[in-house]
Amino acid sequence: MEENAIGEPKNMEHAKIPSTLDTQWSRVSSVFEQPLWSNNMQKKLRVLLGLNSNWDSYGSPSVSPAAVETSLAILGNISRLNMPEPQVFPVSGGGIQFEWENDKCELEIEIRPDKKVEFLIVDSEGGMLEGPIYRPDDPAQIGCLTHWFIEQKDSVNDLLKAQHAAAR
Amino acid sequence: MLQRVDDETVSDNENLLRRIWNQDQWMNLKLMKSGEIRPSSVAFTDENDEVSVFVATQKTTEEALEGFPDFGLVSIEAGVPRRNGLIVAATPEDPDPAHRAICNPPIPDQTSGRKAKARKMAEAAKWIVYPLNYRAAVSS
Repeated sequence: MEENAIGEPKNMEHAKIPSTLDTQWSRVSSVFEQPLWSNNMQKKLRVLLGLNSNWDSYGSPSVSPAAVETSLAILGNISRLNMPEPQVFPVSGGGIQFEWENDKCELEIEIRPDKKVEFLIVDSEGGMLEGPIYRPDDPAQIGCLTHWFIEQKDSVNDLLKAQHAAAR
Repeated sequence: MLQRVDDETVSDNENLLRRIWNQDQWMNLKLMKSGEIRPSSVAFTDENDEVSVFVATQKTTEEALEGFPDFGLVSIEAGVPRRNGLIVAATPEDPDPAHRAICNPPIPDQTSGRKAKARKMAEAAKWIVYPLNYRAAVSS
């Protein structure tokens, strides 16, 4: 197969990335590493960016471009971690939230308009654990959460143990 | 931010109304293990940590959705946020006498975080009106 200068097949159709997101996304991940849902997620983020103020009927400002930028960095990490497609929602005040759930547990990652990131995990017994993600661009930090989710651990205590082990 | 105090005239079993965002086919909904659907926890999350609600005895469903026909509407009992360390505060600066804010007390409760509290309120929410996209989906 013929290849271009960077080794991609010449006839391969590139994913259509909106120009406003193009630069940010390409900084964090090659389109060829993205799962199938990444295009859909980009479309949804573009819709969220286009929401007018008061979209929530309670006076929220528009979704913060900074939150979208951080979201893209997180998705860039997550796209390599075998995670299913998340649900994505705007948060009143300008943030964004991603949500995953499977038969046993749930994971929420909220990106606040000032780029701070927080998570919530819920285990099969309804136990909850939440906290900040200080370096959302660090695959290890996000990976700890996604591993817990994918492994369908029984208890939020398993995540605490994993965090303690990683900190040693 | 204004200093908020719990409005004791709103009893724990009084219902509070909250509109639920809706756009196109965007389902701001989660399926629970019970088979019920609930709003996402984002419905009870606000960057300012103040969630606007209306006291149900002072607001009809139609009034709560006036101008927002696509939105859903849920209710939660005032005791739900209170049992989770929040207060239901009057908002004298708001001209609508039915308006309240679910928010932290002056000394915030530290037993659980803001996300867990939002999640618990979302789980306790009962639908009064489903969002338009859900109504359209179930009728088709």
